[in-house]
Amino acid sequence: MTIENIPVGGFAGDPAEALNPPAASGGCCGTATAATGTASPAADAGAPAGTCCGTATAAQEAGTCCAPEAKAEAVAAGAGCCG
Amino acid sequence: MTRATPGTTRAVDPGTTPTDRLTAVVRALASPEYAGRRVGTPGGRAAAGYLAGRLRELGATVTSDGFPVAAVRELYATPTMDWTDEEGRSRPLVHRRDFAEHLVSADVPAPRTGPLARVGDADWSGRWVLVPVVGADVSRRAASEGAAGLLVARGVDDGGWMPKMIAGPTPATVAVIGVRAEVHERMGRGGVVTASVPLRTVAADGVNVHGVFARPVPGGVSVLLTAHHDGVGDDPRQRLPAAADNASGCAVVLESARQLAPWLPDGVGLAVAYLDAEEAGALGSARHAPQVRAGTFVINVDGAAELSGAAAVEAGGPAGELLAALDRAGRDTGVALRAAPMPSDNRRYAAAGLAAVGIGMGMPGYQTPAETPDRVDPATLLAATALVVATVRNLFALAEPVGDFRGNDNPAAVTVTGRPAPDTEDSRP
Repeated sequence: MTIENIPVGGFAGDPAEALNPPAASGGCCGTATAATGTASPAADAGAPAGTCCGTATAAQEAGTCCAPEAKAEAVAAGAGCCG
Repeated sequence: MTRATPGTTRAVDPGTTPTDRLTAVVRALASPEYAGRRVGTPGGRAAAGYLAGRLRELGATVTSDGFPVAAVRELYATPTMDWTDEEGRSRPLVHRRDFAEHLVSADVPAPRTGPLARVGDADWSGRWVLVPVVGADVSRRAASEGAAGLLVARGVDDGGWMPKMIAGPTPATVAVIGVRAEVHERMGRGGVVTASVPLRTVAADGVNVHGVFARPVPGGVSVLLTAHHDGVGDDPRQRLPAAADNASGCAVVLESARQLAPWLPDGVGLAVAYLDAEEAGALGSARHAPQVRAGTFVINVDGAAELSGAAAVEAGGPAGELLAALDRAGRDTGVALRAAPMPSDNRRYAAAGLAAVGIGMGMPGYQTPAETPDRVDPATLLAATALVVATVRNLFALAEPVGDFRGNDNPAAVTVTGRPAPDTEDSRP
C-alpha cells in the first residue's frame, strides 16, 4: 500500500491565473489588470456581471462604484471589495 | 509627510499567544471608541493612532501621511420611512433592514410625505415613485415634475441587512431610497410614504500610517505589507464595527510584522502601510503607491475573518516571483489558494508597476451591524498570518547570501547579522 501525499495548500492550478482572475471587474479600485485610479465603474456597460461590481450599468443604477447585490455575493464568497 | 502622533495606549501584551494578540487587535479596532473608523472622523484618526502605537511597540520607525479626500457620503441623521398602505395601516420601516439611503440621493433632511406612484403613471408631482432602476432619464423626470422622490428595489444580505457604502457618483437632485425588494413589490398596491434621507457629501482628511522595520540595500529584497484601517463608519444610532473589513487584515499584518521583524536577513527591507480611505475608493493606496520603491513586493490583506475553502488571491504587476513565494507558502502552511478578484488596495500598487497580491479570507457581516468581532474566526487569523509570514520568508530567500549565517529558528533566513539603522526621514520600504 502506498500513501499518496496530496497537497492541501497552495494553488490547485497555475498560480499565474491570479494575474487574471475570473470575472474580475472594475469599480472604485480600477480593473484587475490596469487599475486606473479613477473612482468610477471601469467595466463596459454591457459587459458580463463581474465579481464584486456586477456590470457598470448595474453599478450606475445602484448609484455606487459596484452593484450592491454583486458585491454582497462576492464578499460572501470570500472576496474583498473596496469602495 | 509628518511624524505620527502617539496613539492611544491600549498595549497588546507581547507575552500572550498569537491568537490572543490577533483577537485583541480586532476587538480594539472594532470597539465603540473608533466608531466604525470612517475616513476623516475622530474614530478613524484614533484608529490610525492606535495602529501607529502598535507599530512603535514592535520597533518600527513610524510616520503618518495625511491626504485629502474630496467626497464621502455621510449620513448625519438616521433616515426615516413610514408607509401607510392602501388599507390605511401604518407600517414603519427599519433603516438598513427595510430601506437604506441610495448614494445618488439628494439630501432630504426633513420627512417628506406623498402618495405612491408607479413608473408608468402620468403624474409624478409630489409622489414617491416606484421605479425598477434609477437612471438619468428617470432622475430628470422626477426632478422636472417635482416628485417627492424615487423608490428602487434593493436586496439584502444573508443576515437581512443592506450593507453600507460611502463612495459613489455625483448625487442627483432628487431623493432616492433603496427599499427591500418584497416591500417594494407590496408598495405597488398603493398608499402613502413619509421619508427622509439626511445624506450629505463631505470632504475628509485621510491618514496613512507607515512603519519601517528595515530598509533594503540597493538591489535588496523589499516587502511591503498593507491593510486598510478604515471602515464605512457607524450610522448615527447604529454601530458598524468593521471587524472583518478590515480590522482582521490589520491584525494579521501587525502579527506578521511582529513575527518577521526579529529575524530579518541583512540587506532586506520590510515595511507596513496601514491605509485609509479604501472604502472611499482605495484613495490611501492611490496616494502611497507612487512613493514606493520600484521592485518592492506588496502583500495586501483585506478580510481574514472566515476562511471557507481557499483564500482568494489576485495578483498584478510583475508578480511571478511573488506568486511563486505565495504558492509555496500555501503548500507549507496548508492554506489553499484560488485565483479570485480582490478589488482592493493591491490594485493601486499593481497599477504603479509593483508586484502586488491581494489576499482575502472572508468578511462575515460585511459592512453591516453584524460585522462584529465575535464573527472573526481566530483560526482564520492564524492561517492568514502563517501564510503571510511564510510568503515573506520565501521572498527573503531570494536574496543573495551576505556575511555569516548566525543560525536561528527561521528556516528562510539567509543571514542574520543585524538590521540596518532606520532612516527617520524616509518611510519608503
